Amino acid sequence: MSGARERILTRVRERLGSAPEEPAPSREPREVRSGDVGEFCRRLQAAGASVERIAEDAVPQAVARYLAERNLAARVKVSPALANLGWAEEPLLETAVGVADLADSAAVMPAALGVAETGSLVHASAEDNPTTNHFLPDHAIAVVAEETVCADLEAAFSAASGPVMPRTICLITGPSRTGDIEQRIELGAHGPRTLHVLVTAPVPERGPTSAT
Amino acid sequence: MMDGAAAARFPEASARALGDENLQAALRLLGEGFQARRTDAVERFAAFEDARDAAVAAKTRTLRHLDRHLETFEARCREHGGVVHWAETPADARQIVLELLTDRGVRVLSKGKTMVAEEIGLNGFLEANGIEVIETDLGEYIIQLAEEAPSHIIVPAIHKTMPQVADLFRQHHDQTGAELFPRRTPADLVAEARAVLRGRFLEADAGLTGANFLVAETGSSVIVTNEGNGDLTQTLPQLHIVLATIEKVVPTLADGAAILRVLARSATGQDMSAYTTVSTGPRRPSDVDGPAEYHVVLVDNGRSRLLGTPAEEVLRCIRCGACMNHCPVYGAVGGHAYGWVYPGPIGAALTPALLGVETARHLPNASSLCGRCEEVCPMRIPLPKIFRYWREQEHAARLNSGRMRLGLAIWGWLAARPRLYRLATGAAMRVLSRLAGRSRRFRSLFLASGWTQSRDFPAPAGRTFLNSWKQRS
Repeated sequence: MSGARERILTRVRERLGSAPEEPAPSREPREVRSGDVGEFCRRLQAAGASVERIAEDAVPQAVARYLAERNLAARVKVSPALANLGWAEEPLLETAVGVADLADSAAVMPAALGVAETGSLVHASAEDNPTTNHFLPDHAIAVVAEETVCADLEAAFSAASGPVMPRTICLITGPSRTGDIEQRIELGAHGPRTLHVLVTAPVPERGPTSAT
Repeated sequence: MMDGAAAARFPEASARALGDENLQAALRLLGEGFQARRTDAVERFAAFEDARDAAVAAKTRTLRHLDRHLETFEARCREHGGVVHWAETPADARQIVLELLTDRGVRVLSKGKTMVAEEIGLNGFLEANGIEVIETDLGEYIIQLAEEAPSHIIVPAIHKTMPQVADLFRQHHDQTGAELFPRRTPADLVAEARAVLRGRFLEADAGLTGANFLVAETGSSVIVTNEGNGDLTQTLPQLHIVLATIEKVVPTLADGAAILRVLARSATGQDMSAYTTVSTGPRRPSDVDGPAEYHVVLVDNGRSRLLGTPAEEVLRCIRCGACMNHCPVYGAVGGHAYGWVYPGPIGAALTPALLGVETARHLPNASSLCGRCEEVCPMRIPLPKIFRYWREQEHAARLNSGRMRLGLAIWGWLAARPRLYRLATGAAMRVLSRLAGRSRRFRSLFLASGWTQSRDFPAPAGRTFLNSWKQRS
């Protein structure tokens, strides 16, 4: 449609006339404060996710335990970014690293950030972090470090978009749902039926693992 | 498919809707459904009014320099490897999408919910050209099976009851060999649709989504969904096409954040929808998933002509649906009566701009100007003011009935002569009050048959408001 661009933009300019330039009153991201991690967990739970706070070296055990408690098969697709978490320590848990497909009922993937304001996980796609794994499996298990929890949406967008904009930034706030039949909310429309979030705390070097 | 002509038949269609028992049963759920949920969400969020102001300011600022933001969007999108197409008309937009698909040999297209696709009549056009379209939003899927148009902008199948959906699934799924469910609860039906559509996401060669907004500074499209279908649609196939109208652009991601703060709360009463996804260009060379191609079709279809007119504030709309969820007229007749893509108050304000006031003149009249829509609109669009603007256009173009014009002329003549007006209305009130007798109601009344056909007309108290006011002071 050659010329369409010019015709549209010309019409817009004619209609607008000349408006004075005005500074963008964009809201500054809020600073992180104590209590933001708790707020993040509380809101995420309110959105229908389950949340567990663990030490950062305890992910494989937490995943195995979660699947066992729910009577789910001890088998997960692991996003490449999480390939080196020491999965061998859980010999009964079958893991495969890569992009999820229809055969995967559960997947474990990282979140780049948490957002206290909304209780959202922030997924940023990357070569070791496929977007598919967040959406295709029935059960999503996300790992997010507590020190990445930021205050609000502005802070999340600013952190996730720089310095190189990923193909996909996705704010995930609870499991998939729909209200399309008689306005009743049902979980598990097309994306995950359950979302379990492991919020990890750093382990002090060579120190004893603190009990949570 | 909806043609615009149906918008001209609002009076007949609304009368039919009032007698449709299934529709009435479905509409009765609005009060405890979306209305109550929005009220709760707003009460939970102390800063809601501030957030509304911020969202309105962001969008107002955008529209004032729309040309520049569109150019920035295009440049940034291209820098990230995306392609931007411009379409003035629905026909242009359809053709651009068709060529993108046929040039790549696409046979199956999966589709997220987009009102712009409804607006340009995309599905019928693509199907006529041999492309299979799979609606993946549950509501859109239901109405695709029923071969109907959406009746609500965020809950397309809101007019269907659960048994009606179960019947549709029985007709369409029983022969497919898909996993079947008991169909006793909404949960059963959701599970069945999930099972049927699962494999279809992977079959599609291309995915098409709309955009809740576009971000100029990054050249991104953003979709806000709850089901996750939109993300599967824009992640799994090799080609991702975004359809968006030109007023959807905002300058920055921070402006997007301002809109997100009011969108879900107003729409579904959630603090945040389950998935808010920013897509920028195609997959990066080292990415392990995502589409190889990313195209954005920017559609004007009448938006640019609206700028600078008294109706331009409709361009702030973020399509949350709050106005229709709270409208007594929408609540009584549902969305199909409006005859075109956008029902309810936003439709009554937007449709005359897009289809012409000749076709859509009844819609802005389908309001008592009660103002509830403006009250709940997160973007503070003065919908009743815009209805009045279209009514004035209708009158100026002499499209309303002779009887209506005569009535308005008499009233206008009288209202311009205050003393005579008071005398005449005072006398009329006294006479009517006396005529009403003991019942204080009229079963029928000269010149008011439109009212008394369906309900009694209450008798006036015997004097006018002005009389009472004078006595009071």
